[in-house]
Amino acid sequence: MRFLSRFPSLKQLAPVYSVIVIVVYGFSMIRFFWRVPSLANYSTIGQIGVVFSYMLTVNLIESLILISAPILLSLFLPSRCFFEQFVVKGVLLVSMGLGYAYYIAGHINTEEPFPYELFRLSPVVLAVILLLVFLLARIKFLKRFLEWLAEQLQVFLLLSIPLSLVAVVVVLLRNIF
Amino acid sequence: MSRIDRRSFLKMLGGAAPAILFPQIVSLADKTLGQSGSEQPNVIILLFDAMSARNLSVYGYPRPTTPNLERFAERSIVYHSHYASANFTIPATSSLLTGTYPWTHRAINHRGMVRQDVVDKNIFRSVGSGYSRLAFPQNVWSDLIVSQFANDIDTFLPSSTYATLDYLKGESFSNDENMAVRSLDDFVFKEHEQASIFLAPLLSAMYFRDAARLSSDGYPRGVPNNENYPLYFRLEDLFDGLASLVPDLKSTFAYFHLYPPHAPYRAASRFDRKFIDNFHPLRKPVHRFSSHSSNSRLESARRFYDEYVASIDWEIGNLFDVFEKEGVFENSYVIVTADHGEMFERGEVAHTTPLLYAPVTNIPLLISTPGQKNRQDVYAPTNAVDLLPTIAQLTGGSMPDWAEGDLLPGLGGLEDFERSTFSVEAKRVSAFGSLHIATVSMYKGTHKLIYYTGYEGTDSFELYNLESDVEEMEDLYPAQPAIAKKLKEELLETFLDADKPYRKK
Repeated sequence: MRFLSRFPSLKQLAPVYSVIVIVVYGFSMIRFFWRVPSLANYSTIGQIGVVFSYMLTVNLIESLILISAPILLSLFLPSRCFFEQFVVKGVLLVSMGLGYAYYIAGHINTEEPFPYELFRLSPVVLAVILLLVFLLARIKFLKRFLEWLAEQLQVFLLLSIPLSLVAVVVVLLRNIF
Repeated sequence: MSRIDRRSFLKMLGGAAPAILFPQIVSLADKTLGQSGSEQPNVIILLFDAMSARNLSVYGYPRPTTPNLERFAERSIVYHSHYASANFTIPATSSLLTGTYPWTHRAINHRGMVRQDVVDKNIFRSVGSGYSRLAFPQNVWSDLIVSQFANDIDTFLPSSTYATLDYLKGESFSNDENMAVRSLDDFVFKEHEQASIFLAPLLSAMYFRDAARLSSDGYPRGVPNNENYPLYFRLEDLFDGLASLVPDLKSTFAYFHLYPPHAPYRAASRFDRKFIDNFHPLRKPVHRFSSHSSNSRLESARRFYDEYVASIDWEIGNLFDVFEKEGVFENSYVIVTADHGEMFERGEVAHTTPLLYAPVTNIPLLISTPGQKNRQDVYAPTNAVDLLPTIAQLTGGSMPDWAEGDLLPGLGGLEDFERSTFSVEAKRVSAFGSLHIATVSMYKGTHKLIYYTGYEGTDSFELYNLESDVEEMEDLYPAQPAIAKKLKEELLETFLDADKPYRKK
């Protein structure tokens, strides 16, 4: 029971999730709109909408996987280590983690051969990120700023969650019928 | 990893495995067995991606690349002047499967698709009633096209069916494969263009790790793979897989679009370095629209390609031995062809080019009719768009009035040397717009006229006599104005007429 008592509340989850949504959906949106002229070359509006729906469905899955990282840390670490500062530490963790993911994704775009070394370094990078999470969360100004920022970003959830749910329904319907 | 296990399982169980792993094959078997009372000849299309007739010894190429196709030719109708309707997979496959030219079906871009109102006019719907329709598009781009016709196909084997390793995601969505492949494999998880910041790099890393661990035993230049998608396959698995389907082929129309010999050219050991010889192809002037590859690159790429073709031919021989043993030749039309060719000349390697010279457009077509024992040669120009009406007729259907091809000579049609056929390249322009940047070649009689429009502002033409100048070395356009004028008028009239609905008033 004590284990479950460290499960973050919706109020704690929402700001952290909104940071993930901004990065994950934002990255996809940029790629999508970059691709639209090419898609428009040979697709109807409906087909472009279906491509968009699959993308949003993947985004939803990705964002849920990513939010599980701070949740797991909260569950497995003592309350005072993570749960009590879930928002600020969660925001720091996902921001830096996604920063690293973006760095890798950028190298997959431009480098040959595949950048295995970036993946091999991942455990070290994640350890450094965790260390930074604990250190930076002590800075009061930064803490207040991150909590404020995450609070503001929650507005995007009002757009991304309904859109994603519609996308999931589209994907389900297309695969059922 | 599960895919590799599946391969091992396939090998272990041989013919039974596809039935277990792909229940649709069972339904095919059930369906065909149920029709034993009124069995009709099978029609089996073996289409090889990027196989140029100009590199096949069955068509007179100096290197002995295709001894098994030569053997097959002795019981077939051999079409010597058969042309692709386009020079890369999407439009060329679309033409073959819809019986229309690219200016009609409009799948003209990379990743393009057949226009919605043409989708219903496909070869699977055109075959006569009573036929089971089976499709295996191994090339993912052909999969994108074929899956548009999924409603008319009884058994659809995904591209990864006989793969050694694959990370395709869209194929899991069997009810919406076309859009799922387009969305996931062609966009969200597409390497170098991925729209996913977290899962795509992760899956790419896993794929590359597995690919690096893949044993290249028997393939000195690496296991063959799909150039554009995460899919590796071994030729022997591919052809064993096809052979395992043979017992189920009864009153079946089967379309097998096989990826090899498309690049990368990876011959099996026994054919690697087979053609280090004294053969030096005719060197041709570098074309202004080519990628300006050096002669040494052209020659080495050609050698790798020829060795790969020989490797494939060996597997074709094994498959045909199975056909022979199982009596397939007695009750089937067996069609060997390609979607487009491949070129190693004029500064251009492969086929992603505005050029429409013979190595890219002249493709093989050999058709063995049920029980045929003798060879028949056809020299009149034929085109990939002719296959649909011919197969419709052979399977008891009628020739569709919308088809832009004719019945093939020897299969209901007559040799017509005055007939005009076309190849079209227009990948740079919108599928919904005018083909204002395009190359069109027209074959008529012994002549070929090539028309370039929109590339450098002014239009230009080249004219060749294919009878006296097989290598297309001497441009007769300025020297034979009368012939040039006549052909030019016909080409422009046909082209502009087809393009008219898309031109702005």
